[in-house]
Amino acid sequence: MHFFERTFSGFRYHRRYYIVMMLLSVAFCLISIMLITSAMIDQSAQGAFLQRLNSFGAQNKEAILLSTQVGQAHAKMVQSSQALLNRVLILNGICWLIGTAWLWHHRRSETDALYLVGKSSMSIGLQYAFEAFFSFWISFMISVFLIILFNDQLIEFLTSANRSVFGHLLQEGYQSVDINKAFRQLFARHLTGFTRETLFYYGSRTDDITQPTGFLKTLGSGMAVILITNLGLVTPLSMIRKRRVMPR
Amino acid sequence: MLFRSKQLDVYRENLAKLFAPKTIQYLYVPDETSLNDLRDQYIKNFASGGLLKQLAFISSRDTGILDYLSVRNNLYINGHSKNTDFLPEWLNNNSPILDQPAATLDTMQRLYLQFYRGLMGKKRYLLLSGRAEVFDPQVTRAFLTEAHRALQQTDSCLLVLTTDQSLLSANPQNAWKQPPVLSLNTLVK
Repeated sequence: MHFFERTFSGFRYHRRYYIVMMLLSVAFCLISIMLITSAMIDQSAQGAFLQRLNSFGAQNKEAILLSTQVGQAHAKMVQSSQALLNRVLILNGICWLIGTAWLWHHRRSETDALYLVGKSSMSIGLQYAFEAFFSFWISFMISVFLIILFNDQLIEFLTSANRSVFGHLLQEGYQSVDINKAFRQLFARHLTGFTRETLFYYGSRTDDITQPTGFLKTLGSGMAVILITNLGLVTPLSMIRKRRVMPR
Repeated sequence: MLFRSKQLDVYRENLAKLFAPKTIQYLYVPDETSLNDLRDQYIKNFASGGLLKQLAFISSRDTGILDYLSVRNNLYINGHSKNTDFLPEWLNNNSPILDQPAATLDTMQRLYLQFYRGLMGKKRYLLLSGRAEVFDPQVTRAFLTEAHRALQQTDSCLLVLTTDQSLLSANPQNAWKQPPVLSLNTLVK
């Protein structure tokens, strides 16, 4: 009996569970890719801002003041998106841990059966892990398909959301430093091809960010979660189970 | 290490002499608790003798049958012997039952499937431990007659752990009123 035949049959048999986990994984993949893309858009916006600011002259007093304030707002944005991404990763890990534990409990007799026909803990563990990998792979592909389908809208939405959050974060610095004044003085002596708003952030969409990113990172972290839950939970539990089925 | 390997060879030889191929051995136990204890003890002994891979299980409770696989996949799960002449018609290559899920089989069919699965996987020993309510005399006789016929075409031996003394009386040449101790120390002296 081929290993993969057994794995796919197991996947089909426990399809209800895997459909739930796949929906969860699609949500995880979409959120993870959106957060990573959002961080990249922000980095790009910061780069573009500094480039535009340079046209005023690097030693300009107002430019230095703006650069510091904007830099701080960008740093806050990167921090918050990273913190959010970490939470999503942890939440995904917890969901898989609970789901895996539930499924393992649900398929105890199946584990016994596999031991009874002489399968090793390694073979059983690999079967269960591959079922989960397979379900995550399908979820990942669905997410990639959805992102390709709504690529432009997604970039536009993320840029607009980023701009809005960035504007809010920048506002927080207004009370301590008079940015408005710095602005007026900066623009008073220059003719530029951009406005005050587009100096800070892009317009409706960026020129250099046309596609989302973070696919590999999302795939890797999702797979790692499955590997860890299977190695850390399923395999030890199965080995304990083996003692009951095959007394030694 | 070399000594251990030699010890295991002797163990295998002595066990093979005790339970000859193509035979059904009847081992008597007074009650179901003793039956389970003896089964567990034999599994431990086979494991310590390095023979677990040569042991197949037949049981009404722990069947080792994966319901989500087809009957064919369950039959071949331990390997696929070239010689399939011993298979009954309902498990033969063209039988429509083979492509059904194993979940559709009834209790007796599941017992037969376990037995033939062991033979397909060329297991040297098949350990049958059944509950009395499943193995009524008529069903048992039919199963053992078919098993005897199939075993003649293989090198396997069926060990029947039973609480039914009449089975021993009917087969005195292979009956064990006192089941043998299969520990490494006992068989390797």
